[in-house]
Parts: sequence; C-alpha cells; structure tokens
Amino acid sequence: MTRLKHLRNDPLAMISIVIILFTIICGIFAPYIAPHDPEEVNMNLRYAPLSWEYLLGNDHLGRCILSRIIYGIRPSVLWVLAALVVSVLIGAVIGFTAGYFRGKADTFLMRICDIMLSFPGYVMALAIIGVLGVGLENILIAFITIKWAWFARIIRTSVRQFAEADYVRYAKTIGKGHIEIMVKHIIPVTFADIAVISSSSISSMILQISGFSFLGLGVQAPTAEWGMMLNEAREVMFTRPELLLAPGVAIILVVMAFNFFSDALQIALDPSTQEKKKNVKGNYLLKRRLNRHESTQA
Amino acid sequence: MTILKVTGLTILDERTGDTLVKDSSFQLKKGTCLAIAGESGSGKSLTCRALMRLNQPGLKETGTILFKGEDISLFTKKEMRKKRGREIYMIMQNGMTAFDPSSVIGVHLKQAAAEHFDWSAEETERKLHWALESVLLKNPGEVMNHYPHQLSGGMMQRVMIALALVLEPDLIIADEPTTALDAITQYEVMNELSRLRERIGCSMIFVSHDLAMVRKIADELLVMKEGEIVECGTVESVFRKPKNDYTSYLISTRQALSDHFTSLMGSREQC
Amino acid sequence: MVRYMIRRLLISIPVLFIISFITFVLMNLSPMDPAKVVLQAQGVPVITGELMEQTREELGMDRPFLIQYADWLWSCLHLDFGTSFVTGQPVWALLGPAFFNTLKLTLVSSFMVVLFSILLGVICALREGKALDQSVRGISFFLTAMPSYLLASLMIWYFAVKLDLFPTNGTGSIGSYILPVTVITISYAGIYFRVVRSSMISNMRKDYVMYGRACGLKERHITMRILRNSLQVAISVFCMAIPIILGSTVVVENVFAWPGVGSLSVKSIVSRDFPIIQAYVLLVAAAFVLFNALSDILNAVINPMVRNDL
Repeated sequence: MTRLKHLRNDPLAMISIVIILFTIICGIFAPYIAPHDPEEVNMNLRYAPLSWEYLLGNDHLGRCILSRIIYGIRPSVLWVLAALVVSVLIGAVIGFTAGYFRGKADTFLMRICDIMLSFPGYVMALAIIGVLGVGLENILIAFITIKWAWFARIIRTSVRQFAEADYVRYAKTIGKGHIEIMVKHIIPVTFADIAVISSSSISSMILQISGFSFLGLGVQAPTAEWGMMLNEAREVMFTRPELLLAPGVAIILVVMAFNFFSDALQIALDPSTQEKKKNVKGNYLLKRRLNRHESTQA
Repeated sequence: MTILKVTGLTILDERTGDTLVKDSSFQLKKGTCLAIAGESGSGKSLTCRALMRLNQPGLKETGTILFKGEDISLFTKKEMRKKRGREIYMIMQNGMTAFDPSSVIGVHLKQAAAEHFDWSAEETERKLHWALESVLLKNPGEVMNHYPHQLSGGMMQRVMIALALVLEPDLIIADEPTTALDAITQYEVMNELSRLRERIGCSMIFVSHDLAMVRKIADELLVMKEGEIVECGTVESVFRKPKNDYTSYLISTRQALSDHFTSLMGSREQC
Repeated sequence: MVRYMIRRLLISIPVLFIISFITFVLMNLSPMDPAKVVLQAQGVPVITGELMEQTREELGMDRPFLIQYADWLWSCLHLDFGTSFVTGQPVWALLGPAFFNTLKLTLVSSFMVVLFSILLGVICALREGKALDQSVRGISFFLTAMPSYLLASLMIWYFAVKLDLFPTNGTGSIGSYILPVTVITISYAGIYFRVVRSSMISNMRKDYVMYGRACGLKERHITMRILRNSLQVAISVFCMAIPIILGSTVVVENVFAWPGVGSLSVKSIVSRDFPIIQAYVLLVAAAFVLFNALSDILNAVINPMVRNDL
C-alpha cells in the first residue's frame, strides 16, 4: 500500500480520484442532491436556458437537465462498476482455480476462456441482448458474460507466476492448506494486477454501455441515462446543439478521469516502473493496450 | 603512444539529476588492454558508451575524450558514424540480442562491411567467410543464413569477434563479452579475444566484473565503484597491492573462484 | 511455412464449429417462443395453442435438438440462413447487401486506421517527449475519451449541416464515406498509434540498435530495422483491428444511416427477428476467427521466431 503514496505526488491522478469519488457519491445520493425530479415533465419550460432554478437548463420535455445528469450517474457509471466487479469476481475465481491447481482444471477452464474470447465482444453483447431483449439489466448481463473470460485469463497468468514462487512451494511443503496459502500468500500479491486490469477496463465499458443506450438497446425512456440523453439531444441537434453539451461533457470527464486514474494506478503498482518511472513498461502495457482494443469503443 | 585519453568525464542523468559517472580520467596506450572492473551499476557500460558517443540523449556528458588526439565531441554525426566500427568497435555483452532478431546475421555483417569498405559483393562474402572460419565457426555460409535465435550465445559472440577481424578497428571495447556464457564457452571466447588482439594489433578496453578474466587478458586495471574510479594501475600491481579497500574486497571474494579458473586456463593453455 | 499455414487454418475449423453451436444454442435460450414471435409479426390476432403447434412444425422445431442444429448448419453453409420472422424475406437477401456495405466501410476505415496509426506512432516515437509527441498524445487522449456517437453527431452538425460539405447519410458517393471513416479512424487510430509508438520506443532501446550504431551503420538502416521489428507487433494488432471494426461499426452506421449489418442488427434486435441476429452473429464471428488466423499467419511470415510454435 505504500506504493499508493506515489499517487499523491501525481496531481492529475489526484484530480481524477476526486472526480471519480465525487461522481460516485453524487450517484449514490442522487435523490438528496438532485434539485428536481428527473422525470418531471414541464412543457412550459421546453428548451429553457440556464437559470438559477434549473442550473443546466431544461430539455425538450422541460425536464431538469442537471437532475437527469445526476440520476444518470446510476446507470451510466454505478451499474457499470457493479457489472465490472461481478465479472472480475467470476474471472478471479476461475483464474485462481486454473492458475493455482493447474493440470486438467487449468486446461479445461482455459479452453472455455479461449472459446469465449474467440467471439468479438461487441457482437456477442448484441447477440445476448438480441436473445434477452432490450434493457439495461440485459446489457449488464451481456457484458459480464463477455468480460469474465478475459479477466480470468489475465488473473490466471498472474496467479501462476506467484503460485510457482519458492515461498508458496515452501508453504505447501510444510503442510499449509490451499485456502490459507491463497488468502495469505497469493491474493495480496495478485491484487495489484487485478486492480490495474479492472481499472483499465472501466472507461471502455462506460463508453460501450452508453453506446448501447444511445442505440436504444439499453435504458428505456423516461429513465435518465447519459447515452440516451445524447440520443435525445441528437434528434434536435440541428436546432439546439447545446443540449449535447451537458451529457457529452459528463461522459468525457468521467472517462478521462478513469483513464488517468488507471494509468497512474498502473505506474504506482507496477514494480518495474518503480525506479524508472518514465521508461517503457514493456509487454504488460502492450497487453493492456491490446485489451483496450478488444473492448473497443462504442 | 596514447590512443585514448579521457579527462574529467562526468555523466549526469538530466531527468533525475543523478551523477552516474563522476570525474573519471584514464588513458590507454596503443596496443595495450585496459580492463574496467566493478559491480553492475558502477558506470562501466556508461563510460564505454560515452567513448563511442552512444549514450541516450537524456544523459549529459562533460569532460573531454581524445581519440587519437582528436576530441570526439567535435566530430560531426557523420564523421562519428564513420569512426564507429572502422576505428572503434564494440563487442556487446549478449550476442543473442545484439543482432536484429528478424533478419539473418549475414545481412548485418554485409551492411557493416559495405559501410566502411568499397568491396565487391564477392570480396565481402569471401572476407566474411574467412573471418567466421578463423573464429572456428564451421560452415560460415550457413551461419550467415541463420537468425540470431537459431545460434548459441557463444557462437554469436564469435560472430561479433569475426566482424572485428574484418573491420580491423584500432580500439575494441568489449563490454562484458563473456558474462552471458557458461564456463567452457567463456574460456573459448576469451581465447578468441586474445587471438584477435594478436592478429590486428588493436587496443582494447575490456569490461568485466570477473577479475580472473581481467588477469588473463588485461595489462592495466581500473576499478569503478558507484561511478567513481577507485583504483588504477597495472594489473599485477593492483592484484599484489590493492590501494583501495573495495578492490581488496573484490580480489579476496573472487580469490577462490579465480584460483580455480586460472589453474584451469593455465593448464589448458599449455596444451 | 506452408505447414504452419495449414495447421493454423485447421485449428480454426473446430473453433468455427463451436461458435456456430453457441450461436444456435443462444438463440434457442430465448425466453420468447419463436413461434409466438412469428405469429405476432404476421399480425395474427388470436394466438391459439393449435396455431402455435402448427407454426412450430413449420419452423421444424419439433425435431430433436441436434438434428435441428445440423440442418441449420448445413443450410448456413449454403448461405441459406432461413427467412426473416418479420418480413418473411430470405435472411441472405437482407443481410448480404448489408454485409457488403459494412465490409466496404470496414475495409476503407481499416486502411485509414492502419495508415494513421503507423504514421503517428512512428513520428511520435522518433520525437519522443518533444512537443509534437506530447500534443498528439494529449489530443488522442481526449478524443478516445469521447464516445464515438458523440463525435459522429458533432461532425454531422459541423461539417454536414453548418458547412454543408458532405452528405449526412447513405453510401451514394465517395463524399459519404468521409465522415464515417473519419469517426472510425479517430476512435481507433487514437488507440492503435500508441501501440506502434510504444513498440517503436521499446525497440529503440534494444541491444541490436546499440550494436548497429557501434558498427557504424547508417541511421536510415537502423530506423528501418526498428520499424520492421516494431511493426511485427503492430501487424498482429492491425489484423485484429479489421474484425473488431467490422463488429463495432454498429454505432457509426446508426448515426450516419449507413445501410449495413449494424443498422440491420439493431433493427432486428428491437423487433426480435432471430434468424437475422443469428446470421449476423455467425457471420461476424466467423470473420473474426478467420482474420485471427490470418493475422497469426502474417505474423509468422514476418517473425521467424513464431514459426516454431504450434
């Protein structure tokens, strides 16, 4: 954890963390923070400009844009985070089993992962939504289904590396149980890797899931969601382009914050970058970048 | 006659402000071999690269380096490039990574020869074959058609020595040329290095942390520690009477190993 | 080398089978009864149990599962993906032209993505840490944080409406390619150029560069080597870019009203037109697997070290 102190010296990382925490808190306490009901239609206030009562103005149905942005944090960011946590957990369980026990379990589980990964993620997500029908929960299920295999692979590689370490062998020799070894010796050291890969997936997931909502496959009206707000704004963009501004800025800000945060986290947690901070980070970074392509933009 | 004279060489890392090599001065007489010893990170490699102006741009060098009486920092890039290989040549630590992994070795050798000589293709080929054969590589034609990963570390080291035979440089910098090898191959490569010196009569800077090797090949020894030269003199005098504590520590810790190795090499040499 | 190619292609065959099987199973997992979807789509007012049975029989759904699968697979190999539940047209008649349109967009975009990634990556690597490198990276950082649909919308608003330079939709002219291709290029080149850049930079610090310089080789020769070695990494990434772009043109197609598989699949998902979704998934997944194999083969051609694996 002392490594995390490096983050404190990085102003961009600190700003990112503040933005992320602020967003999350706003999302959780949306009903207390939002000035209005996000779904309250008021035709008298259609396209109303910024005012003291409605800080960011009103949309085509006269709804409070600020409140919609705040409520939109829930599906656009919080639920995405939840889906991420679930897929990382599944990936971790499978990755740990495969990497630690090796042998047949490993081969079998990795074959399944290979098959999952041979589908293009985006198309797989569309297929699952096609089967289950439109809706945010189905998109989240789709994302968990396509993402876990990827996490499982990375976590397995990381676990394998440590499971072969001498101190783990020693612990086995003196008769410690598997669970004890995992909890005491493997989870703490692989935690850094897990943190880095999950943080680097957040932004692409936020972009993709908002993209699905933008296409009308995700959150259904009138619930507020950033991607959908952009879609609604697009329909009137020739006359009122300023409506694109608020949700657009919100997404860009949050995605950039997560990007900076994950880069900083990686530099802070990666032992090879401890001494030569600016030097090449080699294969690992490349793999991570490859991940970003795999989980392409929506 | 002095071929190389270094005065007050200091290397600074501009980013962190660390001094990596501090005010080091030494010189090298024509035809002799100077060994630089010291643990890793003591600035040996940085010093060597500075002699060829090969350090990364982020490193700031001060002091003067006179090669054959000329200040190397005054050469244009092109002049410097013409000197590299033809006049100052470097043998790298790990031959396996020193060659472009995606082309066959012959490509590099021919390019290097073409850079410095106006030989016809046939003549280049002939010279390279001769050089590879004389470092005891059989089937030189085949060797040149191999990718680096298909050959062994010892063979790659010989290929680098062979290229030196072709280019006939005046100064060879051998940067830990045997560190990556096993004991027997080390011995063979050391023999090739000695023979190389005899043949082309070059001067040599031999970097190593293995004092046994140093004793075998070098005339003078320079010991570096944390970027500073702590000991300097002829090999025999340093070994007999080290002035610095660090040097005597190095010598004593290596003694057991050295003895064994020297006896091994000595006995083999007489055969 | 030929042996490697054959083996690599052979490995793809079981993967294709598994993919087709998963696709088939997935569509049968749907909580909605296909027979019901068909009847609803045909506008049948009252759906009786008898009618459902009859439709099921027509769809061949009363037969054993594996036989249904084999049958379906066999017809798929003949490009017969069944008929659309909604319009009753053969799926291929709808999907074929759309797939062709998407392919055109994908190939043009992929070419631009590769071109710009290499260009920017090489320039930034050679100017590492300088103003140009910093600004290109900064701008790309911002642009890749922007959802591509927002970028697309802004581009339509600015170039097509404000400046009236390009058409906003359709595949009619070369001009109609410019905006969608630009959006895809910005989204992907912004990511891929970093791969080229970091690969170049890590190669620039390798021993062979130092040794090449120590032998007095021309900078031009050395740069060519660095380029060659770093593009090896990049090429496998680029080969994967084609199927990935193919699979994710959905958003761009929808914004620019491009009549491709992306638009079609979204429409089909909303109307629950399973045969089209199924065919779409199968087609793109197969393309994905084939391009994957292709990238490995290409990699083996360039990189001799890989050939010994497998």
